Amino acid sequence: MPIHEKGYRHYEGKRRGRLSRSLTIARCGISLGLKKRGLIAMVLLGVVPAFVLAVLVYQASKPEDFAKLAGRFIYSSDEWRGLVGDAPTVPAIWQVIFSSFLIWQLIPVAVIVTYVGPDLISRDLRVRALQLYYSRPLTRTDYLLGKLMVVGVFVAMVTCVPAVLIYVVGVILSKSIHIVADTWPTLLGIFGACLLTTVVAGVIVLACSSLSRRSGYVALVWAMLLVLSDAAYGLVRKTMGLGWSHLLSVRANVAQVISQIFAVKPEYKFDWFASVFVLAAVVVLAVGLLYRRVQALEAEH
Amino acid sequence: MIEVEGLRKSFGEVEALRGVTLSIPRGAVGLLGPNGAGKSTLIRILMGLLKPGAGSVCVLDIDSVSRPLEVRSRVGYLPEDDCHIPGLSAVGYVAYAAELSGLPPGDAIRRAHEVLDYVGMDEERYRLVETYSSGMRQRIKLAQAVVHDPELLFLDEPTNGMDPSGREDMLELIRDICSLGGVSVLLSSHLLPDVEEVCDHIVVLGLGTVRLQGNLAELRLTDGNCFDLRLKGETTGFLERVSEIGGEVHPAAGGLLRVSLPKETSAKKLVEFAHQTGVQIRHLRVARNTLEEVFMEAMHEGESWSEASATGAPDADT
Repeated sequence: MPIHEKGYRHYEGKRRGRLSRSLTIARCGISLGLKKRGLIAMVLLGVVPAFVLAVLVYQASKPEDFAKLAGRFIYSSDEWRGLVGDAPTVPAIWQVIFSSFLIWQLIPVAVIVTYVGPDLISRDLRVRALQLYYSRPLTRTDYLLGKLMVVGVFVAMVTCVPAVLIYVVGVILSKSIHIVADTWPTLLGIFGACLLTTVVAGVIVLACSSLSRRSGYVALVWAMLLVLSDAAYGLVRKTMGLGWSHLLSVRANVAQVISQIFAVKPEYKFDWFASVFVLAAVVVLAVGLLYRRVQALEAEH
Repeated sequence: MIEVEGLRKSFGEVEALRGVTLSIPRGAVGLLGPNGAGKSTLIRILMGLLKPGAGSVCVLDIDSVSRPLEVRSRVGYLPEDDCHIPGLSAVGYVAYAAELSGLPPGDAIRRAHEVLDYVGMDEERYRLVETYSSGMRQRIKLAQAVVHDPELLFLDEPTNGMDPSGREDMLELIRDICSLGGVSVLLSSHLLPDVEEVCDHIVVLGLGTVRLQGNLAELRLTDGNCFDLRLKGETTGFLERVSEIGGEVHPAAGGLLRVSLPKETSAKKLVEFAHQTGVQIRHLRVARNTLEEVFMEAMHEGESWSEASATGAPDADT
């Protein structure tokens, strides 16, 4: 006769709201992602440029010395003057170096998203896990938002997190809290750039991920999209010299909008609004495709 | 528990459900039907995953078309296909399912352990789900279906891929959830013995229509003047006497004889004939159809109905 009867018991505790479902999906995706050693290595490599940023922020506390340093290693004197003016201030320098850092980080972001993104939906298709989600009280939007958050966290690891940490270190090194009042647009810009990068990269990679059960194919499609769009930009610029050729490249458009977010000299001599329009169109198309695919899969399962 | 009226659903030109009307009470209900009968479509509509073309659907007094999330927070689903998330242990997987249903993380882990105990998973719960045998996966699927304590369970082929003892355990668990746990169950299965063991009510679907629904015990009853007999001795005389009064005799399962007597005749007549012809009656009971017979009869009736409708032949009975 059993001492402890393991009979069916009812649950009488509390239940959480809808937002918690997306956070749960995100948490699971992140913890599964962190089990990939390759991904952790990519993230660590992706953070390396942040050390350069840290040195630059440290040097920026002395604008005159920084101008010499920048003129020697990064920009020509004319370029530097064009970016920050004849009498650069610390906030102006920060705007330039943080925006440059976040534009540069688009490369590690692309690599990390190639590693983490393709699996997000295609793995669920492969193992038929959509049934687990769709039998629960969550909507397509909750599901997709959770998946987008996974991309967002890994993007933030190489953009937002190091940038904000270095910003805080910069504030501490400046020995004056007034610097925050002068540089808060930089902090906002960091968050804005990270959000933009996450939305554009995340939505496109999720749309690709919903197309196939094979993550390898998805990674290939995503990488081809980036490479081909950049190649098309390079080709059109070299052969035709058109001023709008950067609109063909996803990366170039994101870079152009990040420049605008930080209010620094734009990457390309063309109206930044055109890049916003192109990115918005790409995001809307990807979201449309994503919803259609997920809706079809929902009905199928 | 489930009220469905005039439910229709088409996929392109294929009509999956053709005006299904159902009233399913609380308890264990079997959903039967051949492939393509519309069982999966019906379950998906009940869970609010598909919108019907026409008709109304109420699950647990909730309109599952306009309030699907509310329905899904109160039902559990065990899918036919394997579905797991690689890289998660059974505890992690079941707790994840609980959190997706809104349980806080601490409660989700506690509840996951509770239901894994209940379905009979011991230390192996810490292993990755992808390393499990198909029987263990079925148990995990049941655990994730009940982890949020639903009021109604949709079970799609719950004994798929299980060995006989695993199957027995699974059916025992389902019976226990239903009778002691007070959770209603809609069991969709091709295995009629599974349904017969667990359910007290059945719904038979065929080509998108309801062929039969009702209490299983009542559906198995014959017209009341039909008996199953086992005889010992020379039976020829006995059988002749039965034929003389207009009765019919057919072999039945288990070496029995099924005897249908005319309406005005009672079972006493059989005892009388046995006495007169020197035959021993070793077994006598009112005949009951097996679920298989009920099912086959429903499908045949449905087919003749469909054929009659298709040819436009008048049929007074329909």
